[in-house]
Formats: sequence, structure tokens, C-alpha cells
Amino acid sequence: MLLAHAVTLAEARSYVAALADHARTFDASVEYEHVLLQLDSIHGGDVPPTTDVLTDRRDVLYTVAEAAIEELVEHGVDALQVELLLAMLDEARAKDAP
Amino acid sequence: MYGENGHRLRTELATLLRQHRIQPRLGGPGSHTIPVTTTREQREALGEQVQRFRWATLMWCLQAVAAVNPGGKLAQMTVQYRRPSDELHYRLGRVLNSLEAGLPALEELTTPQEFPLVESWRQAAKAAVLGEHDFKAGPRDASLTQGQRMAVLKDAAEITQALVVLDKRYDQIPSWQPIPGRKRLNRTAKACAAFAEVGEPDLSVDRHGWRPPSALIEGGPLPGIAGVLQAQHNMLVHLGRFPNALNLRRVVDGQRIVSRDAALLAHYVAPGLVDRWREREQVYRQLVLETRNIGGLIGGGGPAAAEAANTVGRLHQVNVDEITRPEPLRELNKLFTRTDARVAAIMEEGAAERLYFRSVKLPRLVDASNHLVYPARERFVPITSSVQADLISITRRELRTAPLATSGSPCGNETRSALRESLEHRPDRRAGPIV
Repeated sequence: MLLAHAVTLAEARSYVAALADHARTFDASVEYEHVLLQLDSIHGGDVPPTTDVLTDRRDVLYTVAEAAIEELVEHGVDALQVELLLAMLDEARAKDAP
Repeated sequence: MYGENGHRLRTELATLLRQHRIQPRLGGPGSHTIPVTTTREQREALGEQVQRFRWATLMWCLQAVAAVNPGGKLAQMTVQYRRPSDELHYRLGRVLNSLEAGLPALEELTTPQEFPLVESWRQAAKAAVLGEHDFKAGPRDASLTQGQRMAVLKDAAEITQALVVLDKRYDQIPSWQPIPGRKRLNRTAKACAAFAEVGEPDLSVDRHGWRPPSALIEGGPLPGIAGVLQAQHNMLVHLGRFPNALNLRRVVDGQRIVSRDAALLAHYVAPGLVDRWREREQVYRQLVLETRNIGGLIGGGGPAAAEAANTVGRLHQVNVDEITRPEPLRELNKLFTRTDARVAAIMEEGAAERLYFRSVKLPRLVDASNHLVYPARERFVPITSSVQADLISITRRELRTAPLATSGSPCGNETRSALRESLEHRPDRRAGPIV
């Protein structure tokens, strides 16, 4: 894994983890955790650590996470896998709606 | 299990102790009503066979005493310095060295015998041979409490006494080799039984020892809550193999969801479990958070992760109205307890063997990246280090359950008193013949 890929992955993981932590419902939190697990599965469990993010606004967290996941395609991650991840993220967001 | 084999051993010996005229029971002379059906040579062969079965039973006694009293240089100790358990250990060793019978062959142990007396001996020897597994797998000195050690010692002493009593009765069998020094062995066994009695034997030792490994519940998914129990059980069996970090995270995630959903189902039928399972959900939530940055490629665990997902999926399908009895939920609770213990053991093993790692950012920058922004340097450290103290402390504090208070099995208690009665209430010789 190249450094740029690792940075993008770390960003995606950190923001998805933050979404799971700040989810309004149990089901949404579980779904975000599943996105994180899927992200790690795609990378064979060899992943950079999550870091604290500076905001707890869900719309911001979601936008950054989505952008970071989309960017993974540029680092050689299979586009279909990325689309599936985005679908899972979208589903999790639907469950997180008030 | 120790209790199971001990129960069979005591049952057969109590049966043998109730039989007094031995020759007619081997088809020999001695009774006007029972015809002679065997020749002297045949009775001799039967006697030799019984001696081999006796040898196996004596060997069990020696192993039992050795398991709770490893001893050491018993031969160099003078009698004054030997405790009763040392003395019994020493005497049994000497008896076995001087007897020539040897262990019975596998065919002898597995072939049913014509005469009930020999059959009882065969069953006793079979239990003794199977009991060897128990001493290797369970009752070793370090793993037992003092009370449990005393219980094993008392069992061995009483069985030795029974063998000595039977030995006296079998003297008339052609070519019978009596136990050398049996009076002394009997005295030692009695002293040892009294010594163990003072030490308050703890019969929970019956639950120790070898037991067959859990098997998968094969076949398609069972309907309703039974399917949930099936998947949870199978997951536990698959967790017998060490999982890699990713699959461990999947299992932990599954347990979090299952705890929460099960607590909803238990609301009406088993309200006592609701709080416990909600607490469990919180514990697994903490574990999910703490294992996010755990890595480790060694191990498998794919089937365990799949069964964890099955448990979640099947539990979603169960309607609260379908559960009318608390028993299935109690079974689920038992499986949860065992799962927690196994997950804790896996975490400990992963930490001790350095199979799980955590990636951390170091307070240094990568200065050779040729980028305008230098990212923080990363490295993997074992989860035993201070950066992951929470994971290990949660595991040790929340997942490890206190050992269940176990008592001896009812059958074990029954046969212990039956054997003791057979030993204590031997008929008076002057009271007349007993068949």
C-alpha cells in the first residue's frame, strides 16, 4: 500500500468510525461498523489506525467519508467494491435519519 | 469425566462385594444347587483374566493417588515421614511392581463375558482404563482445590480397600496370585480414607476430567429460536480455532447485536436476563471500539464469523410471541457465558503470543515521503503494550466469568455411599452362608 492510499484509507476509516460513534440509533451504528469492517476486509485487515476527527456534525462526517471512499478507486481499489461500500454507507445513513 | 468413570467403577465393585461364594460363580464346585460347568483349567484361565482386570483397577488407584499426591522420593522416605497419601502411593506402587498379571488386552476389555462376575470385573477395568484420560485432562495436583484432592484420595483409598476385600475371597480360585502385603495395604487405605475424610472432600471434582469435544450441530437451519441456538453453538465450536483479527472483530460485532436483540426477546419470558444482556451489549460495544485498530493475519475464524452472522440473521426472524418458555433463553445465556470465556481466552492468547497488533501513530513524521505535507509515522505494536490497555482490561474485567459452583453428581454420591456400605457391612462369618 502506497502512502497516499494509506492516508486516504485512514481518512475514510476515521470518518466512518466517527459516524458509528455519533449515530443516533443502534441500527445505524451497527451499519456504520459494518462499512468499516467491509473497508478493512477489502484491504485484507492491513489498515492504518483511525484518528480523532475535529467535528461531530454528521453531514460533514458523511461527506468526508463518502469522498474518501470514492477516492480509493484512484489507488487501485476495485470500483465495484467501492460502489458496494457507498451503498452500505447510504443505507446506514438512511437508518441514522431522525 | 472423573465422576462418570468413578461412578461406573464403584457400581461394579459394590456388585462384586455383594457376591460371596466365588467358585460356583465361575462354574466351579461349592454349591449343591448349582452344577459344575467348568474345568479347573478353565477356572484358572478365568482367574488370570480377573487378575488382569484387577491390575487395571489397581493402576487406576495408583494414578488417582499420584495425581493428587505427586510424591517424589517416596522410596527414600522412612515410614515415619510419609503422610497417609504418601504411604498409599508407595504401597500401591510396590503391589503393582510385584504382581505379574499386567494390563488386559483391548479384546478382553471389549468382549462381553459369559459369567456375570467376570463381566463385572471387565466393566470395572474398562472404567479404570477410561479413567486414565481424566487424570491427564483434569485432576492434576495444581488444578484442584484441597477438598477436591481429598475427594480423589478418598475414592482411591476406598476402591483399594474393596480390591483387598475381594482379593481375600478369591483365594480359592486355582493359581490365584494374592495381592502381596494386602493387610498392610488395607490398613494404609483405611488410614488414607480417614485422613481424606478429615480434609472435607469436595465432590465437585466429579465434573473434572476428559470429556468429548463439542461437535457441530449439522444439517439445515432449525426453525425459530432453536436455529439461533444452533448457530451460536456452532460459532462457539468454530472459535476453537484461533481467529485472525478481522474475523474476531466480526464475531465481536455479531455478539453485540445478538445481545441487544436477545434482550428485547427476553423482556416478557425471562426478565431476569434482560439487564445482564444489555450489560453484555455494552461490553461488546466497548470491544468493537477497542478492536477497530487491531490487526493480525495469523489464524482463521471464517466459519466462526459466518455462524456469528447466522445467529444475527436468525434472531432477527424470531418473533417475540414465538418464545413462550424461558428455557431456550437460559440455554442461550449459557452459550453466551461460554462465548465470553472463549473470546477472553482468544484475546489473552493473542496478546501473550503477540498474534494481534495495533497500528499506532508515532510522535514523529515520515521525512522521506517527498510530499509537501509530512504524515505521522505509523507502526504496529503488540496489544499488550500500554496503548491498548483498555482492551485487555475490559476482557479481564467483563468477559471472564467466575467459575460456576458445581457439586458432585447425584449418581456419584449414591455409588460412593453404596461402596462404603458394602465395605462397612460385611457379613459376619459366623452368621451362616450367604449366596
